[in-house]
Amino acid sequence: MLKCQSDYIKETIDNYSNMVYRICLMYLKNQLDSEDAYQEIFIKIIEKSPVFTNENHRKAWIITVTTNHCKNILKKKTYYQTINFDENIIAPTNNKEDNDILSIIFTLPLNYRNVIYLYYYEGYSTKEISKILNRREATIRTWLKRARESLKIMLGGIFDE
Amino acid sequence: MNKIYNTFSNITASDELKEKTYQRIIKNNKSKSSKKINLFHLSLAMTSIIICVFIYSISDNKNNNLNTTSETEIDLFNTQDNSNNENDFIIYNDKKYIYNDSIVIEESMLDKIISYTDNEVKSLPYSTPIYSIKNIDKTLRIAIINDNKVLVFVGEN
Repeated sequence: MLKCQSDYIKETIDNYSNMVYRICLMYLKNQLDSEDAYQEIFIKIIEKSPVFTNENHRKAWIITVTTNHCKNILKKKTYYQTINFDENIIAPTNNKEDNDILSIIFTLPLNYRNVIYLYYYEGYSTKEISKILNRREATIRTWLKRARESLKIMLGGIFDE
Repeated sequence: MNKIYNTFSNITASDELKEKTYQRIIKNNKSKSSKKINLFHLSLAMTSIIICVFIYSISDNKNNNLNTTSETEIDLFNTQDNSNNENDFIIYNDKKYIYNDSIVIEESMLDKIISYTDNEVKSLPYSTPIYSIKNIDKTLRIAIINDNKVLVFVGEN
């Protein structure tokens, strides 16, 4: 294997490792499944990596690949039959407070969780999220509003916009 | 908001997972490239076989042409040879005279024309003169001239 290719793989993993892992966790709510999905997603990213206009384009593409992959996992009927998400949640952090907050976030519907992550952590606007997730902006705004309302109720004073 | 941000910040992929993923990608790439190489070798082998078959068919055609020529030459040779072998004979006065190439005589030794062949001798023109040989009984030996060579025929007992 060429050194430049090896460097490209390392650089891609280093730059997007946490983001991919977090999105996987948002979707799958399970550390083990997230780790499996994480590996498969990076294989896909390296295999299919197209030419990007800039780093933001690349990042958005990786988010789209990750969300689509996770959706496909969830779509698999066998997955639903064999895995009970709630019973298989493994603490993704060592901090109890973080795990508590995460367990509350995990109770939100799938789309709300993802929007919360992309909006509050990755810093995307609702317009950008609508492009990445291929949804109408109004839909994203609705999901975000409902997610905030739910978190306010569940987290109480912790959640501050 | 800060709490949620911090919570997300604390979710990180372990170095072990990163390394495992990196190794898996490398392995995956290697197996793919080896498959590509195998495919390349297969296509190369197929191309070689096709070229070999093509060259063989061309050379076979050439050989066939050569063989045809050669066979023609052999036929021709055989025809010529047949004119000189034991099967060449002349019927004269109801007696069979067989060609004997071991007997060599000069044209001056020929006596006189005693008859003309009726093409029993292959490759000879029609009505070739038959000569008797000086001092030899014509019931024993007779001769003809072909291509300025004297061919001697020996009468069967």
